[in-house]
Amino acid sequence: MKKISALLIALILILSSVSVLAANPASISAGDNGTSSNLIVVKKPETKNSATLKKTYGITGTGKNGVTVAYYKWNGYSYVSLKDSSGAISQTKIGTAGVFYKQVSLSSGHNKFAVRAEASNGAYQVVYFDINVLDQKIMNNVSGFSNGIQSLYNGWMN
Amino acid sequence: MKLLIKERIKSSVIIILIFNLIFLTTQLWFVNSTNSLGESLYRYIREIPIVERFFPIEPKYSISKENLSMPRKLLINDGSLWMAYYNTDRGFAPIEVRTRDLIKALLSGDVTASRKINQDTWEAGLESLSIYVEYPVEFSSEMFCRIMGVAPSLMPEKLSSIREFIIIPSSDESDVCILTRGNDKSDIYAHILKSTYSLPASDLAVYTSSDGYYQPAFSTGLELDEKSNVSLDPLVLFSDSQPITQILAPHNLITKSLEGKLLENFQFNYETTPYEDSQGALKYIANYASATIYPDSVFEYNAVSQDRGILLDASGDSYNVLNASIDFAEKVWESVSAEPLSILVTSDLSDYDSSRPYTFKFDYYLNGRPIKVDIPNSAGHEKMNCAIEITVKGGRLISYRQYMRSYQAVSTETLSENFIGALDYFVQVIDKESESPTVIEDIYIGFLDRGVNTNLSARWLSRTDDGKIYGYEKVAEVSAE
Repeated sequence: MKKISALLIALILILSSVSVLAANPASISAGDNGTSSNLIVVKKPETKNSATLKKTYGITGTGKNGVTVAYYKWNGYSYVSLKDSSGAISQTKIGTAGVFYKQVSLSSGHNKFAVRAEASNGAYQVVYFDINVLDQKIMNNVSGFSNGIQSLYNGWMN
Repeated sequence: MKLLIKERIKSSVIIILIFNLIFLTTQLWFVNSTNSLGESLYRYIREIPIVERFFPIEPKYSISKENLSMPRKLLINDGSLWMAYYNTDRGFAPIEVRTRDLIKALLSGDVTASRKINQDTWEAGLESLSIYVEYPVEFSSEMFCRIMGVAPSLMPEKLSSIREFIIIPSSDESDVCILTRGNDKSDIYAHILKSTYSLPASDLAVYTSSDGYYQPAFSTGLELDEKSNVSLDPLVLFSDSQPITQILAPHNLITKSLEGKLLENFQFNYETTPYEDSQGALKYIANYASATIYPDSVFEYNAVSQDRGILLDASGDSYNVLNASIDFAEKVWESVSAEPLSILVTSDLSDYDSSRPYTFKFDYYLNGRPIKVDIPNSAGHEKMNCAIEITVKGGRLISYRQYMRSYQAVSTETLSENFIGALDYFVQVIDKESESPTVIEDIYIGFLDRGVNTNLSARWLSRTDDGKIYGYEKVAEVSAE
């Protein structure tokens, strides 16, 4: 009887922790835009397609307090959740500040990501974006990455 | 013949004496001064602009003075993303040396043009290829020059106060440009350095290429809840890591055997007999001052009047008074500890006025992390929100308070909370406490000593634009200056 009770308690504990952490699935299919559009706003990257030189990137955004946010990367077939150090789905609950942040690793070329936010009532939103890792030569030719302030003080000496 | 030899010997002796006179006078005036006349003359001559130009003032070295001249944070924008270096990070020193040379060039007046610019241009500078340099406190421009070893008389007049710079690298078309911003956020200038100074843009990519110190996100563009009174400075750095940090064991330094040595610094003699008040504090009374050693290791000295304090070895110049205050604190420290004193100034140094009492505030600084002291008034003394408070007026030390504690790293642990969790906490607590809009200027890792005798764990600290420091707590408890 004691064993059964211990098993039940352990089961309840496991299920209760799963119910907290399992708001977002392990993978999502491309094209799933969710049932809501106002749970989160991804601030960085600012656009659906962006470019960088670096192999690490900080995804930031704002959202509603209590919403759970998970991060996914395209593996060629579907968007698979990033894992935390314990191997579980990497997800965080937005708190009082209303901010979320995740540092991700990038590989050369296109890196497709999705951020999935789920509210406690089951409504969810998915935001997709692509971060392209360029080499320095290409980057130098991309407009907007030149020294923006240069024009502001060019000609002072004339 | 004999007469000739005698005359030659006399001439040689006179020549030797003349050289000796010149040598000793030089020693007295330019190398070392041993009395007040020499000191005054020394200062007078050294402050003549042409002399300052050829004999730049080199600050006397100490760890605490070196801390003064160190930026707290460097942000490198290589055109793609930012890399942040705090002065605890490996890789900080080479960049700091590079930026210091350029800042010294600006302070020395090696500029070809200066122009007032607006906030938009400042922000454009941040978004461009650039190095952002931030110091821990705001300095008056004169004091900053002295700290950097540059004669204030050479400085461009456009700098009123100094806390942050943006250095924009040189290119084929333009020279290095430095943007300066003082306390008044509208007081922003751009200065173009002479072409002899360079910082190729390609160097920035070198500084951002090292792995492990990558801080890719800022709060730029992140707006917190509209209903909240709290906002984030655009340069608050986000972190995704919970680093391994040290655990510190505090040690109270005042012991019975060291009390006499400590008091000697304040011109009390060994024979002075204290009386003990009801809370266990030892009170010493002398003709012109009183001193108290509290049971929680706080020491306090007060002169009976503002013209009766301890005369510091300094003229009325703010830099000299600050240096003399640090020297004094080091002397006090040496009387109770064998370890070197490492402190960090925590009060702005931009409004010093020798005609009124002025308080310098310092906190301890161990292995690159600040230890914020915040102890209540429970032991009979006033609340302390820094480790050392030195109040001076007209070159005299009139009040001194110090939490006499040293810290030793005893083990390590992983920081208990992540950045976002700490941010949530700070927003909640600051919003509850603030009646007016408050900006979180920085969130960083440090220690908070509230006077307990248990080991200290590192934690997230937050500094707001009204100068308050908040420490992350798992329970709803807040520390504020």
